[in-house]
Amino acid sequence: MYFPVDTPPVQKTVPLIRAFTLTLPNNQIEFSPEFIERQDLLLTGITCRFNWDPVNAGNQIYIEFNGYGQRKWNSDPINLMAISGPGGTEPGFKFYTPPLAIQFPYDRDSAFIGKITGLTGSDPDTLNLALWFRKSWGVSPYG
Amino acid sequence: MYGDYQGMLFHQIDPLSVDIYKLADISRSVYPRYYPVNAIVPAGGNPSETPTFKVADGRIFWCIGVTGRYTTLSNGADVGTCQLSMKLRDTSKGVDIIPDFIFMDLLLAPGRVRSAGVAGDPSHQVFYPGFINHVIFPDTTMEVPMSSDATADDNNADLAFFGYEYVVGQGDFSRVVDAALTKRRPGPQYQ
Repeated sequence: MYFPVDTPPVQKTVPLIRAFTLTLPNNQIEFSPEFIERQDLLLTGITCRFNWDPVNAGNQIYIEFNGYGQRKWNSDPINLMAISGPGGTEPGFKFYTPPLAIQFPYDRDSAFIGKITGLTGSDPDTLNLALWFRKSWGVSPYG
Repeated sequence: MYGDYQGMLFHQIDPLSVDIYKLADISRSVYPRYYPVNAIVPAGGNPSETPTFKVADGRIFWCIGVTGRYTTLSNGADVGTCQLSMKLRDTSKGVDIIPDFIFMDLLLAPGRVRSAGVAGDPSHQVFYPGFINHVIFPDTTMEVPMSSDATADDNNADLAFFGYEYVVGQGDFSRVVDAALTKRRPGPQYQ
């Protein structure tokens, strides 16, 4: 059991949830600094849904994040289904799981690159993504 | 995500030795609160409906997350795929929490939904909230524009923003809010 403390939290960040659509295959998204409009953000989660069709291999959607410096979320592309329980647009795959707690800082000046790629398939699949961020609103202790 | 709730923001309570009198005392200044939002969203439109909820003057609402349900009708059938999308805006802070239309099934899981008397295969079976974690100041209207990709059919959406509400002037949080306000740093990236 939990009960809140008797003061509300001091809010230094506000939520920011952005939507992106990707048509697969033959398309990809790159999460460049321009992609996030050069803001300092904290990526906290990803949710997604896509057409599910074994022929189109909707389960072969891969995600890759390479941060600046030595920060690497994954050095090799990882299957999107392995990190985000997707909703789907075909029967049987309509569930959703909470966004993965990633906590990946997104520096406006970094060379941070993330990439989502669909590798195979003949017919276009639509991938809907929601990226969950926290955005600075108060003062950082680091100025 | 869940770690935030344990220790930092919540007191952990031993259910065997909980002091109900103490909790009752605390609940004079803070208590659980739901803000419902509902709309009938016609097919098409961008946005077609903009329901709102308002946090009263003298109250602060710590919105932890949102639960909800929605129908999945399109083209005369229950297609089982979410047709509705939404935005979310804090008008007081000028913060677009969700600036793009995002399908609701990427924000929360509605649990099982089935429209009576309509053929189809709605197979939502998991209920799960979306966690927002946002402190809403007094006298603030929250806007929830909704849009639909459905063909021909209207869809219902019922959302419930849940969290804890604080009574201004009790407890110690007026100081906290003042501090938050005065520490706000100007600049477009913080608006």
